[in-house]
Amino acid sequence: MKEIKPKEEKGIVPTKVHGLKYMSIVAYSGEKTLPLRGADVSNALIELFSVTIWDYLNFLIIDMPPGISDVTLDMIRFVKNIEFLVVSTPSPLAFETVEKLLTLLMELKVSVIGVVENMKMKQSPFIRQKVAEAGIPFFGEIPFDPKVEDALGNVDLLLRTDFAKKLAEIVSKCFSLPI
Amino acid sequence: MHEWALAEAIISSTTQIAQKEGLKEVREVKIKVGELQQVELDILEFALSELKTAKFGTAQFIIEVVKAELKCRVCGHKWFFSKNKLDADSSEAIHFVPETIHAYIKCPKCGSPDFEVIEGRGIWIESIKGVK
Ligand SMILES: [Zn+2]
Repeated sequence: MKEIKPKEEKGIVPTKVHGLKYMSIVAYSGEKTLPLRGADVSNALIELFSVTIWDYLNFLIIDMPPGISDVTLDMIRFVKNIEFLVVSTPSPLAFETVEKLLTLLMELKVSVIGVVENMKMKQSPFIRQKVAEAGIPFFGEIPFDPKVEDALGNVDLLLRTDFAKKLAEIVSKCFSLPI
Repeated sequence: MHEWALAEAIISSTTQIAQKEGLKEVREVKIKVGELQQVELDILEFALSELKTAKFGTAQFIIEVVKAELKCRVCGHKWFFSKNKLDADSSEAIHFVPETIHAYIKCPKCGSPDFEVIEGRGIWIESIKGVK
């Protein structure tokens, strides 16, 4: 936890983790349980956005909770030019929620870069087909990789997992970057 | 210090409002600061004087601290936030992200972390005076 403690300098300067600037409320709540209602989550997020000095960035990636809650609505409200990369599991049940999010984003004319299918365990064209039906780019499938859990906290090990390799492929496809 | 970020936000919001209202010069800005944030007023004042633009001329910044009042959602108990009961780390966390208070403070009556901050969170511009 100490390693990710941001510096204070006319604002909060995010710590660099493996070349990436990183900021999370966890830097301030640590190992403690932090029970927050939706409105509190919104306020905390706005606070972090207003005091963090990101400086020049290629991309600002915001890891979001599933579904359409206060945070999702706030991000749409506050972040100009936001683009969504939506992640679904192979479960048709999970996709129901994803589909509702996609519908909302399209209604609000928010850009959706595409959908990624994560934790794939068996062959099934279901998500791919559904995404195609919605007219949204499908960026691929990431197989369920049990090695990920063991690699948590170790960046080099994590980058060697099948999960990371597949993800690198997808990311380069999303943003037309060389692998 | 993140007082600088707050000062920057105050200057830019005031400038926007002044523009919208057609003020040629800003004479006075009243700012309210919630106690929960534990903003260092000296630094905030200094940052404001450093960051202000020509539009502010000799404008006065009046800063008032608002006590932070908390109310338990479970038992209804009301109490005031007191920084003295916190260690330095928790106090710093609340300074940066006030919502982390829910990790460090519980209702003194029933022990619930489900309380609301009725007043004394954030920082806001109460009024702006100027010449058209
Ligand atoms: Zn209570």
